[in-house]
Amino acid sequence: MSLKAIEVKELAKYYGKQCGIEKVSFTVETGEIYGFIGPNGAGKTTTIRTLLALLHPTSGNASIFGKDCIREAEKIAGDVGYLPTETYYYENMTALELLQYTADLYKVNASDRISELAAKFNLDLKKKISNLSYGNKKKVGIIASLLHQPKLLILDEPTSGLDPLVQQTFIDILKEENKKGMTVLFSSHVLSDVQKVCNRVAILKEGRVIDVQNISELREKGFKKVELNLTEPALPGLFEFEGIADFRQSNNQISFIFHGDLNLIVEKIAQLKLNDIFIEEPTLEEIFFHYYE
Amino acid sequence: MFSLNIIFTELRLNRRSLLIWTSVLAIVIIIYLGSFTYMEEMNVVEMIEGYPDLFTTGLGMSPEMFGDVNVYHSGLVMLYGLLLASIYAMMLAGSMVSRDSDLGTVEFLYTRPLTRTTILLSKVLSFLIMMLFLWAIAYLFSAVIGRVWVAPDNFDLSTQLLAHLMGLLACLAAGGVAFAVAPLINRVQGTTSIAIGLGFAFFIFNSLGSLYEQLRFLKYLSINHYADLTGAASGQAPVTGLIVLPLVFIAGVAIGIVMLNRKDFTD
Repeated sequence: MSLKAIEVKELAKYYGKQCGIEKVSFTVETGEIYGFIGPNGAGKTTTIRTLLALLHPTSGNASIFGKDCIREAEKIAGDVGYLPTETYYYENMTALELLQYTADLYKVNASDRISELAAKFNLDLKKKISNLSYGNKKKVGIIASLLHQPKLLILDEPTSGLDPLVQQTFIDILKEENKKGMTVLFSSHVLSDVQKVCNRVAILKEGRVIDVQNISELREKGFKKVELNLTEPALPGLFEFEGIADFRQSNNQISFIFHGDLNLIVEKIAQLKLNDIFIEEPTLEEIFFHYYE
Repeated sequence: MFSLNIIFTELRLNRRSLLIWTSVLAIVIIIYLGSFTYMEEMNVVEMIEGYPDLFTTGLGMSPEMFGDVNVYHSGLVMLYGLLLASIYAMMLAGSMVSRDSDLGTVEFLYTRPLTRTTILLSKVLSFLIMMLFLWAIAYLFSAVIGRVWVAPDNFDLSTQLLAHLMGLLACLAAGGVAFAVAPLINRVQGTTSIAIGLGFAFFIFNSLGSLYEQLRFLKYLSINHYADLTGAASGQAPVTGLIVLPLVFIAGVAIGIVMLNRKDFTD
C-alpha cells in the first residue's frame, strides 16, 4: 500500500470562539494533483497553514507522508514546497540571493535548477525583490517552492497575479513535475485553474469539507444548465423542488442548474409556452455555485 | 542548533541599524568623554554641588564623578550610553522576531526544514555578535579618546573594560527580555515602542529606587542597577550583576523559545 501524501482527520482550528476549520478530513494519494476549492473564508488557507505547522490544530490530526505535521514539521518541510497566496520576501535581497538563501536552508545546490526555472519564467534574477512587480515576486515564489524538487507541493491561490502566459507555463511545469512523481495540493477559488490540472477536488464550505469529487465525475454527474425563453411568464413556484439550484428569473427568461431525474424537468417544461430552450453541461464554476447555495 | 544561513542573513538585514547605533554611541563617547577636561576647567564640581541632591542623584550624577575621569566615564557617560544601547538591544532583538510576522516573511522562513528553536537561537546568536561588535567599538573609542586625548595617565583601561563588559551584559539582558516578549507581538512598531518604553523604565526605576527608600524595590527591576557602572568604575566587579544579567538573558531566550513554539502564525 502506498504512503498517503496527505492524511487529514477531523482537523479543527478555533481562534478563541471563532471557527477557522471544523472537522476537516481528506486524503491525498501520492502522485495525484488534488484540488482544494472554496470561497474566501472557507478554511483553505487555515488547513494549509496547519499542514505546514504555522498553526496548531485545536483538535484532530494531519500527517504528510506518514509524519505528524506538528511534531515532525522540520522533517516534513524538507519534502514539501509551498507557495503562499501573497509572497513577501526580504526586500533588499536580489531574486538570486533570495533563491540561493532558500536553497541553502534546504542544504541543496540548486544553481542549475534556479537558472532553468528562471529562464522558463523569464525572470531577471539580478533585480532586487523591492523592484519586482507582484507577478514577478510570485515567480520568485514559484521557483523557491520548486528548487529543492519537493515530493509534495502545496499551492495556495498560485495563479493570482500571473498573466495567462505565465499561468500556462506554470501549469505545464506542474504537469511535468507531477509526471516525475510530485504530489500537488492545489488550493484555489478559480475553478478553471483547478479544472485544468486536478484529478480530484475537495470542496470546502464554512470550515468543512462538504464533498470530495473526481473532476471528471463531477462533470459527468448529470448536472444540466437549463435556459428557457418563454412567450408568457411561468406560473410562480413551478420550479420550486429539489435538484434546482442557482434559479434566476427575469421577465420571460428563466435559467437554473438541475441535478436529478430529467423527466421531472421535461414534465414541468411541457407546461410552458417556449420561444427557445437551451440544455447544456454547466461549467465547473456553475456546478460549484450549486454547492454553495 | 544554529543555522549559519539565518545568522548571516540577520547580520546582513540589521547591519545598517547596527552601524547607525554604533556611530551614535561612539559620538556620545567622543563628545562627553572629550569634554571632561573642559568640565574640570568650568568648575562643574562646584556647580553640581549647588544642585539639590534629589536632582543630581536622579540623573545619576555626583560631584566626585567630575574629579575622576574613570568614574565620570563609567558612571555617567556610560550610564547614558547604556540607556541608548539597551533601547537599541531591545529594538533589535524584538524586531528580529516580530519582523517575520510584520513583513509576511513567516511563510518563507518558518516553512523550511528548521525547527522554530533553531530559527530563534540563530537570531539570538546574530544578536550576540552585533552586541559584541557594538560594545567592542564603544570600548575602542573610549580607550582611544580617554587614553590618547583626555587623560593619558589616569584613564584606566581595565576599569573601563569592566564597565563596558557590564554594559554588554546589561544589553544582553535587555535583549533577553525582548526575545521573551517579541513572539507575542506581530508588528515591529510594537516591539520598538516596548523597547523605548522599557529602556526609559529601567533608567527611571533605577533612579527612583536610588532616590527614595520606599521605592527601593524598583531598582531591583532595572537592568541598570545590576550593571552597576559606578561600582565597575571603582574597579570592583559587580558580582550580583555578573550573575543576574546573564541569567536574565538566558531566561528571556528560553521563554522566547517556548512562546515561539506555541505561537500560531495567523494571516
